[in-house]
Amino acid sequence: MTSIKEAIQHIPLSRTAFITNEHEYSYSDICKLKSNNLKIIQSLRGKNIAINGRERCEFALLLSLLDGEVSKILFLPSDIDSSLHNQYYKQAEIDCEVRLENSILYVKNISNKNHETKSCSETEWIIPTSGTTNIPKLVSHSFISLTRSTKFDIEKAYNFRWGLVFDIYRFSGIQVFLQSFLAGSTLIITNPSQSISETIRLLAEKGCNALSATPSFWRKVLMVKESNALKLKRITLGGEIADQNILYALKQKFPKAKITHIYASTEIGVGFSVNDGKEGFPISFLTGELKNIKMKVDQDGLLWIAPSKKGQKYLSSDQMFDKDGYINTGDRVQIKGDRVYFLGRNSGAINVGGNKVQPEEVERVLLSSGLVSEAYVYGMKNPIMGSLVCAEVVLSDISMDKQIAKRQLLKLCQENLENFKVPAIFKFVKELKTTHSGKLERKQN
Amino acid sequence: MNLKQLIQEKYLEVIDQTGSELLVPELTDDVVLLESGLDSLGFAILVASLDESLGFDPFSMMDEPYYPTTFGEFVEIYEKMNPNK
Repeated sequence: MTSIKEAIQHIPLSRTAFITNEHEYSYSDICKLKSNNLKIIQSLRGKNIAINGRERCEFALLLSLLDGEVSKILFLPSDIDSSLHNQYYKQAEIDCEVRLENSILYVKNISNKNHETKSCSETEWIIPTSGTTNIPKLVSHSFISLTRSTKFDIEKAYNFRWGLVFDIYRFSGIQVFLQSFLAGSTLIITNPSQSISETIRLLAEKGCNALSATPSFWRKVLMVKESNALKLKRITLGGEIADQNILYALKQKFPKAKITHIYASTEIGVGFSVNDGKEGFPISFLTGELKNIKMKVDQDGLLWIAPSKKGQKYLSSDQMFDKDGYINTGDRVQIKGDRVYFLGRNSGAINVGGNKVQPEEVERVLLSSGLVSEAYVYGMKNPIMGSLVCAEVVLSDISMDKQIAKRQLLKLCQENLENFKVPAIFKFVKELKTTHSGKLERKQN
Repeated sequence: MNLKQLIQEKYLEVIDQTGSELLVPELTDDVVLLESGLDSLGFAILVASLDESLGFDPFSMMDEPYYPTTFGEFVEIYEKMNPNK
């Protein structure tokens, strides 16, 4: 199978494809939507299109209509800085933006030199990385690289109703979409502006029995009473390290569910999944047990992954693979006995409930206050968010009242940083250590 | 000051520190944590600052994980797990 266009032909049309708070779309509704907009879709064949910041359900419908027709689809989440749009459009050679309003497909031309209309059976999906350390890179995936681990058992899939709580523009959300859609299951699409209680209430009401989310999200799920009404058969964790506590807590709460934690990234796609209920993964994964990928750990403890089929690449000139076909995951691991455990991101970014914080960014804000002469920001383990941001600072004027200093620093950070980046704990110290090369000595995460 | 009062005081400090707003008239035992004004980040900060003042964090000490729903349950965990009692 090479496209959604092809996949949909095998799905019983009476099944429900998407459910939101207000609407329901069956697979047959999607086919009707397609035939009603056929002329426009035909005119888009072989072109490169962008979907720019449209709502989740609209995005899901657009993908269902256009995959297997257009040549490339660029995913532009609304949180991408709009100053990057032009650069991305050039890189991906985008012809036009598309949107769906009141079931009508609209096209807005971007480039004067449009690609010619031609038939096309496989669509490239262009997905931005999360890009916390620098500008998000565009990664191009083929249908094959995205669906490597997706199981298509259409009979069994009838019984599954997946909840979408990830952002559908990102790799994690796309994975849930594909898992549900390609097998003919139902996808319940939640609204990101709703609270966790409202989200879980909707999922329970609509009969969600399969849910994929980050460990931080799952911790919140366990804290709301609405979760008592969830009858889950499948639980998937991804995007962060799934620790033993959350795996255990989910098993207690949902004893009938099959619990899987997944290792995936925008670059790699789905690496592998673990379903023995334990954190980390078996060492046998490193020695060739997995069919679709090869893995190795280098001398710095970094995990490298080589997918067997390389359908992905950066759109820029950056190299994704080493000479042996491996991608550096940037994740540090540790082998203990017959198990491999994740230690965290090598880059030192702090992961606050799935949001990454670059310590240097916070340090810059603290130093800009003029109140402190040195600042060191690091992550502190926290049972609720995984990590919290902590700051050690050296006051410029040591006689200054520490409470007043803390208030002023907090205010400055709140004005200049997103809330999860604002240090939760401040420590006032006399000095900060530096390494031999004169760099700030950072604790190992 | 007993443990509950200290937790209430820290709670209000975190509300202030994070620029949040208390959504209930007062912190009684039946207040639902995630509806009280602190989001999960604020809640995480509360656990960290209580760890600073009390010297223990019951959530990372537990053998079996437990996620409290109400303020009363939250205080109870601290009372139960207090190593200094």
